[in-house]
Amino acid sequence: MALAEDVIAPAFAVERGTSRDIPSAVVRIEETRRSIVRPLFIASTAFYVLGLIVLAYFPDVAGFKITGSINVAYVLALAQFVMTFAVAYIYSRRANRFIDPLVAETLAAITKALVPGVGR
Amino acid sequence: MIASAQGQWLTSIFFLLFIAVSLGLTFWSIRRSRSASGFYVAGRNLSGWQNGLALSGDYMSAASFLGIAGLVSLFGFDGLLYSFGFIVGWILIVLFVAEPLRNSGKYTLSDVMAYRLRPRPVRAAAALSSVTISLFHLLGQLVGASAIVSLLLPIDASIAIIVIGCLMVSYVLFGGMVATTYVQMVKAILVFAATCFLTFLLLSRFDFSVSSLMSAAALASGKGEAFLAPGLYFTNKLDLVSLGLGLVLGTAGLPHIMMRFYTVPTARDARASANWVIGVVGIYLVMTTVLGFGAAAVVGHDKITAASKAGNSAAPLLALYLGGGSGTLGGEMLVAFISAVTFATILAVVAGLLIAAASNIAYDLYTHVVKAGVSNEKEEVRAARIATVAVGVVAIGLALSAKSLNVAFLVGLAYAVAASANLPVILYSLYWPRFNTVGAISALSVGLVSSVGLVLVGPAVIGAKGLMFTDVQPLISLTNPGIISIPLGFLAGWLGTVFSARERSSEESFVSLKVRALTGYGAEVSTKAH
Repeated sequence: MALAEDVIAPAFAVERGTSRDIPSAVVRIEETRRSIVRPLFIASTAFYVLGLIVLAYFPDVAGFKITGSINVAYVLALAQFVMTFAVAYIYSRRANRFIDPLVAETLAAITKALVPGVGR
Repeated sequence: MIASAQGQWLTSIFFLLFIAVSLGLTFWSIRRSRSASGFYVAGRNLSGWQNGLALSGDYMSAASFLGIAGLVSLFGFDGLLYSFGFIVGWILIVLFVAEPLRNSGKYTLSDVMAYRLRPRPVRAAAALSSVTISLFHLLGQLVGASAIVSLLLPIDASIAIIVIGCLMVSYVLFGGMVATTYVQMVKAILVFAATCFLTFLLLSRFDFSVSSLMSAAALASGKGEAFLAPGLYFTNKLDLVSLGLGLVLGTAGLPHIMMRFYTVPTARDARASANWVIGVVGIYLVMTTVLGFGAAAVVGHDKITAASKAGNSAAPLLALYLGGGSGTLGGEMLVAFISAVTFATILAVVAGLLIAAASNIAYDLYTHVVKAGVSNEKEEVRAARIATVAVGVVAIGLALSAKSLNVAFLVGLAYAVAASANLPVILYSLYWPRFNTVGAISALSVGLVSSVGLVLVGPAVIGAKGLMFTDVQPLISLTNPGIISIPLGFLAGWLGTVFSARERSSEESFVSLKVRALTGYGAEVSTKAH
């Protein structure tokens, strides 16, 4: 299995503290994480900062009534909650589907390579 | 005082019931908290939802339960800023901190930093900033609590502080993290249920139309449309942005919140607990803001400020009106219940803060800095218990001497220190290969000194609204230092690192930290319950 070869030699080096390279299977986890986390983080930061700026510096926009007594400010505040729910939901779904299987596979391979008695 | 004499009897009965239940839980936890991992992190045996509920409890403090509702009831929209700042901060935790932290640490936040940096100086500096955060937070909660208690029951503020202080020490001393967690969970359920019930009663009065509730609130506030828009509380725009920044970035650096991620068995459970917080706390915070508008509409500005200037009475008064008004059985019952829930929430929150501060002192300072990591399990637990009593006594003493001061800014300051000192070091440790010990010490000290220093020369301490020198102008106009101190902390960490020699051991351990953080290989395992 390619993964085992990917992992075993670098993992030994890591264990002995002689490695400067991260095992490629771990790099794959990191890259997968990054591709999921980065867009979510950029989008949510932009949205939060934009919201704060509108609330602090654009009172006319913030006070604009959408329906009844519900104005833009209140909708923006509620939208921050909705955004947080959405980010957590999307991240967890993708982590479950793409990150967790990779982690399980890699952890099993490292454990097999490094812990005596496992897998022999 | 809000309730009548009979109402106070009811409050006392509800409150004594909660004390009995919480002490029962503590007694039941004694056996499970004898080992070091049992005491500090409940043996890492909690499930995702249990820890999520306890974490949610940390947010359902008196400050959010009474404070946000009060702020909204008096100043309208601006009160909402606190509520969504609290929740958005969890995005950072879910995406970057919860899972790698669970895999790489043992008992405290400093573990992640000490993993690759020189442990003794880093732990000493990190413990200093973490203990400062917890102590400020604890002091703010205790003093705030004493004011709230004397609003609800005919007891003196000093007695309230002493009773609350002794109970928090007992939970932690005898039941460790196990008792602290279960007390927090019971309380979280109580607060959530109480908030749902009040919100339901309130909205049923307005035919479940938030719009007509808000029109009524705007009308009753006497400020009209302005009540529903920003600008009544935060007159300084930059202060508003600064507070928003501190709340969002501070959460991920709070020691008592972060150490909770060690109480679950795996990184996946850590993710699950963070999701629980976002769900539960999110719904709860939206409801507290609705209650705030409700108090403005139903109770009215004058009656709220007559009972307490800061607006803390808004939620209990709303309960009185929704239950049928003063003197009715329904009103009295509801106020008594809400008051008792408030006590419960104060108790659980201060216990969580106490165990965090005690862990930093016992585990980071004593075990690792003084004894250089050489100590046995028995000694560790004994040190933790001594630290618990010591921090408890100091906190009670400080709270007694500060009880008449307006120290509400201390909680905000705790967030600012967390964001400016702890957060840069956590993020750099987890994600920057080149990061070294000099960088960590620089970030921790610059973050701590700049945030505390800016508050000391700002309007919360100096000037007309401050604690001293009331005839002097504050040196800066910002109450919240975050917008200056957070970039300074990050900058200090970066400069300290690039202008000092490369640290080979740190760069090498970064590789094994990465492997451990991402895969969980070598991570601390849970002790099976027996």
